[in-house]
Amino acid sequence: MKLSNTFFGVLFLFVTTLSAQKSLENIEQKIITAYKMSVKTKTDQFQSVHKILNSLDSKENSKAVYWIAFSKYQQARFSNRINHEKAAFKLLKEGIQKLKSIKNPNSEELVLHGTMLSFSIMFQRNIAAIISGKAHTLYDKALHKNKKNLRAYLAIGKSDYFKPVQYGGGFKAESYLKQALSKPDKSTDASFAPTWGRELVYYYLASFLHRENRIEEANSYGKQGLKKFPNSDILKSLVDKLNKK
Amino acid sequence: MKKIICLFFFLISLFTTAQTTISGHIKDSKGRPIDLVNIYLKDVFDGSVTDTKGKFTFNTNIKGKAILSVSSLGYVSIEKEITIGLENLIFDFVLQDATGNLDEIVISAGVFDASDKKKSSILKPLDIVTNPGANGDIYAALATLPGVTPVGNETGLFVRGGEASETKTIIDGTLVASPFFSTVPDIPSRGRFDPFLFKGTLFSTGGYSAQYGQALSSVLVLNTNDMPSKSSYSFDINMAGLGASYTKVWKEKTAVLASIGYTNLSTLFSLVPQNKVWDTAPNGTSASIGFRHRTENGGFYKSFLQYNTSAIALNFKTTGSEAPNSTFSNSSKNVFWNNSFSGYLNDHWKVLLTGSLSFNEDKDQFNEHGSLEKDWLAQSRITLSRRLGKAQIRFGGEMQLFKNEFTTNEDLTIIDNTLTAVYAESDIKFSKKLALRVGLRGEQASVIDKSNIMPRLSLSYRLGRKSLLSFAYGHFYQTPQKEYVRKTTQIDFESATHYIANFQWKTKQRLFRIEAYFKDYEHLIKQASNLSLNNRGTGFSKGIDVFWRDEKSIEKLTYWLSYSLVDSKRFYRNFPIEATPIFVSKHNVSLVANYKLTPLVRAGFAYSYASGKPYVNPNNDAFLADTTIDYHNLNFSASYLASIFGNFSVIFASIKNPFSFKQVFGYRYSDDGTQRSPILPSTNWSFFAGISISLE
Repeated sequence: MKLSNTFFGVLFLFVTTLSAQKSLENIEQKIITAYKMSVKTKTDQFQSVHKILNSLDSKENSKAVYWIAFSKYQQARFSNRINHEKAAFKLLKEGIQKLKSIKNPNSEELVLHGTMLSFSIMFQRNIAAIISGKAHTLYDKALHKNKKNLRAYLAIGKSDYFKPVQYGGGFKAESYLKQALSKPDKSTDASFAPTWGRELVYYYLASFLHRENRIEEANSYGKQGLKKFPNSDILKSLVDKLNKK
Repeated sequence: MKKIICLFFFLISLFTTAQTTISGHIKDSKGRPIDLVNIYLKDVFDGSVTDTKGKFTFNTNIKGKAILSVSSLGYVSIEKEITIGLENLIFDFVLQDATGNLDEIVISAGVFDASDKKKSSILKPLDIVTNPGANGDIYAALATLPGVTPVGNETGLFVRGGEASETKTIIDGTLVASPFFSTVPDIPSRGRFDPFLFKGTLFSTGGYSAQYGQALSSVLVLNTNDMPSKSSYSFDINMAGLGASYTKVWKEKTAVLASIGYTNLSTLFSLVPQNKVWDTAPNGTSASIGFRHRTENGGFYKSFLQYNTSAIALNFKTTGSEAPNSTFSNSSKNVFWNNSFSGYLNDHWKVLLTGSLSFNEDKDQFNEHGSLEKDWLAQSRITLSRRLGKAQIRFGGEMQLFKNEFTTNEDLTIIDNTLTAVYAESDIKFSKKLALRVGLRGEQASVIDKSNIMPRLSLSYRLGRKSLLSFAYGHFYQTPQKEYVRKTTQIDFESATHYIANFQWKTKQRLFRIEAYFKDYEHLIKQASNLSLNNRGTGFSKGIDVFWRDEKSIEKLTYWLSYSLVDSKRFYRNFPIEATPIFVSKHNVSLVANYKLTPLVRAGFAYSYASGKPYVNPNNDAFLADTTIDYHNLNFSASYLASIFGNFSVIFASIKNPFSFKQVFGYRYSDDGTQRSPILPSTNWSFFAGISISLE
């Protein structure tokens, strides 16, 4: 009894110490869950995430800028999904402002900045080429800083996937998305470094191959993706579509 | 509690040992690592992709027998049965080149294709629009391709030793009677059509399809854009004029496109020193309206109406004469209205219907002598196509009603010609390695009351995954130019026979092609000693074209290098002996490069070289034995994508021949041959700048 008390006491102390020191623990998963729950319930479920991020003191906050911007990105995705376009655009601008405030952004921050800029094209299509150009500059810098960054390859591959063929699109997507797959989820050993993106890589790679009428390969990547992300709705629907072919 | 702790650690150890790591390397037959290979357990879908060292690693929870699948585009896939236990597994694979696993074979001899859809395309549509040497002129962009000789004082494309009139422009299946703006001697003019109108450009430098005729050397097939993606406005202002365009799209099914423009080069000419004396700097207006409609059953209707006016007047110094200068002026009007419908008759047959009307009026004045020329052309075409087993067949017919009225010194001559043609063609793909195109075209021209039959044949054989060998043969006829028909209709078609051999090596980002050709001219119009005309003229043109395009070697740089060797001689028109015509340069080189400085800033240059061309020297008994100095030209261009008041804008600038390379296109001699003056470009150097703003 004494031993078990000691064990649980130590365990509790360890856990509480960690959570006290690292308020950002599992923040990525929390934000993604908030997005998924919001989509499921069609109501904004980001309050708890905001509470955590707002509760950070100024020192922690400087480390958490990435996650604040990321939560705004995910919230913008949700707002756009329920046709609250103005709110989505506002969230993106806020997130981009946060990222712009970083003096010497790292590879992950640069990619997120570019990704949010790219998403903002939806709300300012008339200057799409210019924003896309700015986003690409950020992606290039991100890759220059860290060649292992899966999300940088994803961003470039995805951008090429959406780029009209007459403007040179569709040539890099496959290569960049496959390179993304060959990279680790985390680009650095830093605490709280992001890990998201692999699910999207599988999705865009399979979609690209589908578009190219390479159905067998598309199926292979779609199913590999689904094996790794069995709860992925986008991969499920894509694989279903491919299996109907 | 001890039990609980033991159970906890046991579960952890079980969890960590339950996964098996499968790793290894994948190389090609030469021992080089292959990256981006897909490697996974079949039906299980645990897997990974190789990195740049050909290395892969992934984990799986399954145990027992499984199939490991290894695949990469261009290599023979491998499937290996493996047994997965508790031990980690390491595999090394060697993938063989998949020469049997090929892309669809395409007929490529003689064809330069700029398309956003076809894998066979050699250029992208943007390569045409952004060509630094072209200033937005399709024809100037094509002049950087092999087989085209730059002729700085003439209008048109001079392809493989052919005259400009031997190249025809086809828009959406119909012939364009006057593809260039009208001009005066020594001043080359631009194409009438905005390069942004077209989604695809197919430039055939020889051996082209039986669908087309009336071109001894080459056809340029332009396909206009389909449905615009969104409604928009745009405004352009540049040093030569201004313009505006409007596009309205309804439900992605119907669209109206309209544009207007005004051009006047006088401001630009006042800023750049001129070699010519302009009475009226080139100026013009243009207006166009287009319509697109997609029908419920997949049919697509396109209509395009364009109206142009232009005016130009040049003051010539009469060489070696005390006489006052001469004035040559031209004013013109042009209307082009094109309609096309493509759709399916049923599950198998596809139909393309086209019809067009065009009118061109040229008023020329040389001192006190005036002339007025009017051309009307009405044409229609139907093409039916379907797949039949391994063959794609197409056949159809066309009719062109042409009328020309030429008035000079109060004399009026009229040419009426009805050209009817039928054609049939089939692309047969015997295998993934071998394809054949065989075609036949027959024509009848009422003005000379003659008919002809033209066989066409192309063969492509794939040597490997990236390389292709092609051959083409074809017989081509062309009704003599109107200045000859005006004199007599007792003449026959001019003809040429093309023989082409082509080797092409192509990857996604690099292309090398070399093409050898022989063009045998027969029945060319020849002026007899009594000035009567006959078809006894002959000629030949042979040479090699080399093309290299690369967008891989240097990041952000796309460049292409063209070289043409042309050996051409003719005994035609008023030539006393067989000689190389004045529009032929033996060696031609062009280098075009576009560099993306940042995603928003692009810069490029185009350099052209042509060895000297022959010119007539009355003091030399040998006919066309003298040649001009070699031609060098260098153009730079840059563009910047900007947001102006939140609107997408392109700011562009270019400079032509900044080092003022001396360019001489020929000489004009005094009547007694004692004095001569060089034929020079209108400026030694020039620049251009403008801005285009798009609004939604």
